[in-house]
Amino acid sequence: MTQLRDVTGDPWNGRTLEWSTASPPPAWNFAVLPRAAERDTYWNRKQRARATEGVSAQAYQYEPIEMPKNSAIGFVNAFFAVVTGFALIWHIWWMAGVGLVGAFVALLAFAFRHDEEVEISAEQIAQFERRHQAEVAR
Amino acid sequence: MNIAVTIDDVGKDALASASEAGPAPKRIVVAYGFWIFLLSDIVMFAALFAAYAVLVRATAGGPTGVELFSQSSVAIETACLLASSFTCGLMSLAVNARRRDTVYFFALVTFVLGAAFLALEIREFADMIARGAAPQRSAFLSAFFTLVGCHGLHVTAGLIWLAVMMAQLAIKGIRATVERRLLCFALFWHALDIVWVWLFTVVYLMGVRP
Repeated sequence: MTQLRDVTGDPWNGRTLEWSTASPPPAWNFAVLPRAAERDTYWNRKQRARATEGVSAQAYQYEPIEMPKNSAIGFVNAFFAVVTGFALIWHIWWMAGVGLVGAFVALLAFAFRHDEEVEISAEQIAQFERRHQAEVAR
Repeated sequence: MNIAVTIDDVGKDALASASEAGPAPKRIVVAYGFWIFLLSDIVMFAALFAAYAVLVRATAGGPTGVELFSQSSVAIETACLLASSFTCGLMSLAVNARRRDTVYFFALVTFVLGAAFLALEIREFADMIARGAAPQRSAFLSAFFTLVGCHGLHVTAGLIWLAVMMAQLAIKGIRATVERRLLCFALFWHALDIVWVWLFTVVYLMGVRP
């Protein structure tokens, strides 16, 4: 089964830019913001690479990318919303209070986090891209 | 023949358009997202206004707006809220000028004016309920308490938000996230003001017409 896994991110030789990144894509989606100069940008890029025997593998200058930090706030607040909803339907007032206070406290904890973002270093992105290129070439 | 040019051939200057500059700054994205939220909030108020307009004559033999509404109390409420919107604007200016003490001062004034509005509204509600004009008395009163109470709940949430933001300002200082949240708060507060202007017109001014 493992040999059927697609490692290229482009199993159907696609034409458009969404096929140009790995599959599954990294958290930052694209290592370099793709520039679309025409329709079927990715296709033309591949044609050109084929014509030049793949010499056009450019060395990109990767830049660090800022990403929002992962957070459990959505799940936690959905949990308290369910508690509140259940309690309101069945008129269990103390439980509704617990749900509302819980949601509010969770939101406060989220709002007072020290770092909201993580910076993914250029080195890390370059490493991922190199690994991906190696997998594609294999 | 391959007449198409690959992206790698095109010079960077040739592509310098707005979208090529990358995603919009975060301040713009956040404010845009918050506008979408505000619009959805206004859709909800529109539904409540429609319900009120339909039910305003359905008093079921109970008290009508003319008998219930106190013009002077509502006038003071309106003045408080409009003034708090003005001081909120001054607070935004102080944030932009990065003068923290001025931000605290105008936040406090905004908070006090908002709290005064809320206190007057709660007193008005309590007074109506004491006179037998509770939400369950008639369809008109159900719609009235839902519409005006919903706005009051928004103001309450806004006051809590403002208090939390002042704590964040004290702990985190004026930094990008705090600035964006204060921007969203200002949008929220002004939107509540706009809703109140409609409310004042539709409920209180048109309500006392004979």
